[in-house]
Amino acid sequence: MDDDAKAQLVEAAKDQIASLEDPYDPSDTAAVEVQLDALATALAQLRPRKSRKNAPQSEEKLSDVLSRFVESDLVDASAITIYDEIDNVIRLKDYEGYSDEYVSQRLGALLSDLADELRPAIEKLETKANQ
Amino acid sequence: MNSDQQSKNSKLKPISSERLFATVERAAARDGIDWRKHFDLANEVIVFGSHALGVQTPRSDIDLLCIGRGRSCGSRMLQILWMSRSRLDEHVRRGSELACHIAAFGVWVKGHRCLPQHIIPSSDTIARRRQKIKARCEALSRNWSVLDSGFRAKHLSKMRRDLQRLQSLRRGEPNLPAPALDARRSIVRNQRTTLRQWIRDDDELQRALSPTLLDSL
Repeated sequence: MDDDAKAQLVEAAKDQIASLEDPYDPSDTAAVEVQLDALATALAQLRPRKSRKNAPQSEEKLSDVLSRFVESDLVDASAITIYDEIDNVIRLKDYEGYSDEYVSQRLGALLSDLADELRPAIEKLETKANQ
Repeated sequence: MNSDQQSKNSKLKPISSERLFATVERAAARDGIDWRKHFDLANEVIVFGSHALGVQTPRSDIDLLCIGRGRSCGSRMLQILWMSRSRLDEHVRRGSELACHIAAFGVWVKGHRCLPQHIIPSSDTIARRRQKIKARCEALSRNWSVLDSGFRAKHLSKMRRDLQRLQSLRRGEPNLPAPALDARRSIVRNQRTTLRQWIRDDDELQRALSPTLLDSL
């Protein structure tokens, strides 16, 4: 992959991380799910999985992609814990009867934490791409 | 409800509690979950979702609702949700999707059924489901160009299931688990055409979906 392509992928990942803190309403959990999958797509392009010949390629969850970033020492393992907590809030929202206000606050805070964890990793990759 | 729909729903029969109990024990043993601890602590244990209806796929987990005081937990095959009696009563009062589903399809493996057989989904419940679809439409419109093709397919399936569930709720019926919705072969086979048609029937949803995305369906 040439440097321009790499720089474009880094920019795309930066945009997705910034979107985590966009002022949309995080109580709309379906929108959060889409946003996290868009982030997973962008990050997976920066750290593609090793593909086995003829192995079926299915979409990866963000936690799988984050695991590769953790293995490469780009991201702290706490990013996966934050993602798991986001997943929990989304899954349990309706069962637990969480109010929209609570979900909005809790998910908003968790998404912001996740963005904080990911930013330094992207900066490292950006520096590498510019060298 | 049309007669086709009625005959499809009438084919769905809850599985016996003994059979479900054995299934839960096997799954708990495989996942290393101390299921007996939850079972002993709960006043009632209800199996719901795909396993309760016998429509599960090999990837489906088992949904359990324990009534009493305990901590919800999950593993690959088991999702154990704890809820107080008063919270379940609140779900019933609100006519929530969970209450409607459990009343119709829940299987009590401990304690006795204490819900009516049929709970009607409230207008708030229907509005919430519709809002969820609208939020997904808007988010997909924003992100369609950057989503991996696998994720695109996943979210279109989710949107189709959400719309199927919305239609059930509007008919006053309980929601079905995903494998039962996916078994409606003609809808799944023509998913994109069906989605386009359903969304075009609803002005607000149509406005939420970008014209590019709507045209690409």
